[in-house]
Amino acid sequence: MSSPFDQITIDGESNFEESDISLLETLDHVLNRGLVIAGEITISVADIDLIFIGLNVLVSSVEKANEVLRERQRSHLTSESGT
Amino acid sequence: MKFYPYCLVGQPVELSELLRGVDGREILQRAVGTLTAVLSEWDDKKVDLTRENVLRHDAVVRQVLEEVTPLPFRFGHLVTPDQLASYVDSKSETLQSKLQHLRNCVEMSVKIIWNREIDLAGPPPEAQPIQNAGKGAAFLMSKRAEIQAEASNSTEVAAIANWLKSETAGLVRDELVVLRPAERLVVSASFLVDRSVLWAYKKRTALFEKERSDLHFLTSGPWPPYSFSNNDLEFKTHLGVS
Repeated sequence: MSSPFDQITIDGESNFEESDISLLETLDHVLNRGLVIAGEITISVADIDLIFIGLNVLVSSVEKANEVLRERQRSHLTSESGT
Repeated sequence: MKFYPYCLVGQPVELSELLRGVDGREILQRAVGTLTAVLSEWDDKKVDLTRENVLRHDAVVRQVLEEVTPLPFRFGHLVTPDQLASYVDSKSETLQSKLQHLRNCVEMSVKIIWNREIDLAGPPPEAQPIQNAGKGAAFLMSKRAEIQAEASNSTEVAAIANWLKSETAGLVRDELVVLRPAERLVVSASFLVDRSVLWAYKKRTALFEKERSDLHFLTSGPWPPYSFSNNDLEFKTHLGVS
C-alpha cells in the first residue's frame, strides 16, 4: 500500500507547499482521531509550530494553518529585517 | 514501566525488524485480553510532539495496515500495562465490533474548500434601512441580514455535503462528514472504503474537480482508520465539530 503522501491531491490555487499539506493531513489524523484512553495523553510540544495544542483542543484545519503560516512568514521577515 | 501503544489488532502481525517507533523505540506486540497491542516500552519521560515522532507513529500503524486493518491509537498515549489491560477488558465487545466493522477497509479523506465571497457587508435589498432609522434599528437590520446570510451558507454547505455523499454512495462502508459553514474549508469528510473497491473510489473522486469547478478538493489516503476508531464514550478533540 502506498503512502498517503503520494495520494494527496490539491486542485486549484494553494498557498501551501505539498509537504505542509502532507504534514497537516497526518497531524489531523494522528492527533485529532483514533482511540483515546481518557486522561492518558502525555505529550510535550517541541518543534511543530503548525498547530496550537492543548489536551482537548487541537487545531489543524487548512484554513487555520494558513493563518499560522502567514504569521510565521511575517515573523521571519521581521526578524530578518531586524538583523 | 509504561507502554506507548500504536494500535490494536485481532492477532499478531508480521512487522519489519527494522521498523522503529516513536523516539526510535523498538516495536513490540503484546497479547491484551483477546486482542494484540502493537506498542513500545517506555520510561517516565513525556512523548515529544515532534514532526519526526508524529510521522513515526503513523509509519508504525501504516505498516500494520499493510497486513490487516488495525484500531489506531491517537498519538501521545502512555499507559501502564494494567491500564491498557483494563481499557481493552472494559471495552472488549466494542473493540471487537469495531475491528469487524473496519475489516479489510482503509480511510480516505476529502476536504472541500469553497472560495465563495460571503456577503455580510450589507443587508439584502428588501432589508435596506428605512430612511431616518435610528442606530438601534440599523444594527438590528444588519444583524438580521447577517443571520440570513449564515442560514443561506448553512443550506448551501449542506447541499455540497449531500452531493459528496451521493457521489460516494455504494463505494463506502461508512462515512463521517463534518460541515463548517462559517469557514472556507466547508466540508471535511472521512470515508471507510473496502480495499476491493479502492480503485473505483479513487476513479470516482478524481472526477470531482471537473464536476464541481466551484469547489477545491483536497483528497488523501489510504489512511489507517483513525476517524472510525473513536469510541463513543471517549472524549473528542475535534475543533469545530458540533
